Amino acid sequence: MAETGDNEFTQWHTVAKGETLGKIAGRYYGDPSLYKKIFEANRELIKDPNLIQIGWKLRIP
Amino acid sequence: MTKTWKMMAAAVPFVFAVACTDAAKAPAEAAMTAAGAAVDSLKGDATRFAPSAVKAVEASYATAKDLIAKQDYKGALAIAGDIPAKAKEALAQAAAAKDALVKAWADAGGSIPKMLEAAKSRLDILAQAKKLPAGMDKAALAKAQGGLASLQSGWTAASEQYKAGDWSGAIAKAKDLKAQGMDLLKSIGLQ
Repeated sequence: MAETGDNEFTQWHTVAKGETLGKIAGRYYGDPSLYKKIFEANRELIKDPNLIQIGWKLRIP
Repeated sequence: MTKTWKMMAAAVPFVFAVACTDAAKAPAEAAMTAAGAAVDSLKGDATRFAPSAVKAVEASYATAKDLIAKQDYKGALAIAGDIPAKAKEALAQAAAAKDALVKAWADAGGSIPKMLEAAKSRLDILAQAKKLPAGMDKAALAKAQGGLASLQSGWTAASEQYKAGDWSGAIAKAKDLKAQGMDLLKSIGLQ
């Protein structure tokens, strides 16, 4: 899972049932519209920002 | 005849003492040469990383030189003979101390750039947020941004201090910065 750039300060989030990138962005950034930051940081995993799967471990920049 | 014997008897201790002194002179001088070379080998890292051990060796060498000057060759030999081994111990002590400092710098300072990068990334994103996450307001964000700037300049100073040779000072500063950095990360929800 770890890629170049990941380190002890990289924050991770495991996708739970019912979550969207917007909800996750809201939780960490306070603003759901910033979901693209998470999308861009996980491009190797997320092909479509509207389609994320339960259990995926996402990098939260 | 009796007078001659008396004179000879009186001279015996003197001759014996001279003979003993001379016997110890050459080994003492050889030992001093070796001791001098051992003391010279302590210049550089040893003086920097094991100053007490180096001072002890230098003090022994100075004492041995004094004894040579007083023609106490046996005494000088006894002290000078131990100096190469003591110098070797000082060199080993310095090497260990140097390794420990290099490791301490790597432990304390190695992760700081990554920590600052993570904090900057998050703060840059939070600066774009129309609404901040629970537990954070604009004042807290501004404080965190100021904290990051302070840590960045502190890290630059610590790195320069290390490059300038003040390893202990730089390590102490890096440890302090790391602790402050961890607090910053917590304040922005990164830890």
